[in-house]
Amino acid sequence: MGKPLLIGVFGVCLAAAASGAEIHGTLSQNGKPVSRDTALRLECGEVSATAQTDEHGSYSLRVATTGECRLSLSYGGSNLTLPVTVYDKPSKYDLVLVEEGGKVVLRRK
Amino acid sequence: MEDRAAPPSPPRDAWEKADIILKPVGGLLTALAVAILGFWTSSYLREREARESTLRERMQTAETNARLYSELTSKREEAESALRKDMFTSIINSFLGRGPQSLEQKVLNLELLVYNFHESLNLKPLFLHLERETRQSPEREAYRARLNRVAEEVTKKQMLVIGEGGVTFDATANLKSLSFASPEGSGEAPSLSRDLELGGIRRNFKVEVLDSDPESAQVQLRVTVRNGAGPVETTSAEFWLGYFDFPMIDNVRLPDDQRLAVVLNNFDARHSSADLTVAYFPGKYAGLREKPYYDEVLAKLLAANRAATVAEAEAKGSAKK
Repeated sequence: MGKPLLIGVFGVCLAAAASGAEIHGTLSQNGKPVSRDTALRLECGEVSATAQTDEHGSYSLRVATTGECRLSLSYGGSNLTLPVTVYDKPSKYDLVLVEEGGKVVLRRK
Repeated sequence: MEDRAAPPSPPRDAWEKADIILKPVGGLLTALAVAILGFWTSSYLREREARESTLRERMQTAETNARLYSELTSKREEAESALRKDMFTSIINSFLGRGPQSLEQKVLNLELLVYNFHESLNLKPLFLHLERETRQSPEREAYRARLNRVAEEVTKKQMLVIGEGGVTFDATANLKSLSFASPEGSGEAPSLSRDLELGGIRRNFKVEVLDSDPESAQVQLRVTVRNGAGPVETTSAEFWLGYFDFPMIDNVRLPDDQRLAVVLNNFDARHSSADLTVAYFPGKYAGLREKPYYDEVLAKLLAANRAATVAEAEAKGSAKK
């Protein structure tokens, strides 16, 4: 009972690790990278992944699935989201925080 | 007889005494001054000559070094060109020759060609030819992955260079509705339009998806370029874009020695989606295959000369002030 479960869990982990389903890029505002450790979340149905930006505003999110997903981040007390497409191969999403009509919007660069 | 003695000379005052003492000293000082001046002048001239000769020597050394360097560079270039020519001839003959060749050999030869000549040749036809040949092979998927991987590597390398000197933007195309996701993700639009500026020239780029081919992982695009300044000039190009289109080689030539290239980053037939990057970059980053137009080269040289003349005149003006 325990052994097949373990093998199953190992298989899922291996598939997730082997999968190239990744989005990566930078997050910036007014031409400058956002502060370090800004948290980003990628949700693809029931699968999700989280990451934080480094000192250059770079991030990388890996999930074990492909297709339409939703990228979200908290900024200034509001939750900003952006629909993204995750492919088998890594894809670059350079993101910018733009002020539009008095509120901040998340856009692809 | 009265002895008349000479009247005693009046006592000398301090000035007379000083005059007596200083007369020979003056002569001595003059001689000393002449000697010092002579010594100083000759040492100045000696120093100047030494300086000039050192400068001449340095210039000669620099000139010799430059000549040697240019000779070495030119010889190395010649040797490299000869090696590349031989390599290119032998590889291309392997494709065009009649001798039997395994698919493995052909893929290997294409990899060699791509890694060594990706800035000089458009190898898309060869990629497509090999892709067609591999369709019959039981190892089709492995070969296709190899071809895609080499194409992806080269495209990424080229985009790294292009991205440094140009401006780019990314877009996601929906191949079912033939539309683009808006940058803020609030919906879809039939076309994507962006204003980009490069080298003081602002242009508007409109991209439309016309069709897609899931079998060969290609999208058909129409790119319209509009020049914002003065009377609007519009250039439009339609083409099929796949993984084997390299931006340095396969690009749209624009006036003022600029280029436009579109790169296919990802193609997902299952989700009817494609990820593209549009790059607007200076012609100097384009491959070696294309030569610049002579009138553009002349215009650039004239502009550089004009700028140098203006800078010189300004420098003279500020020096006078």
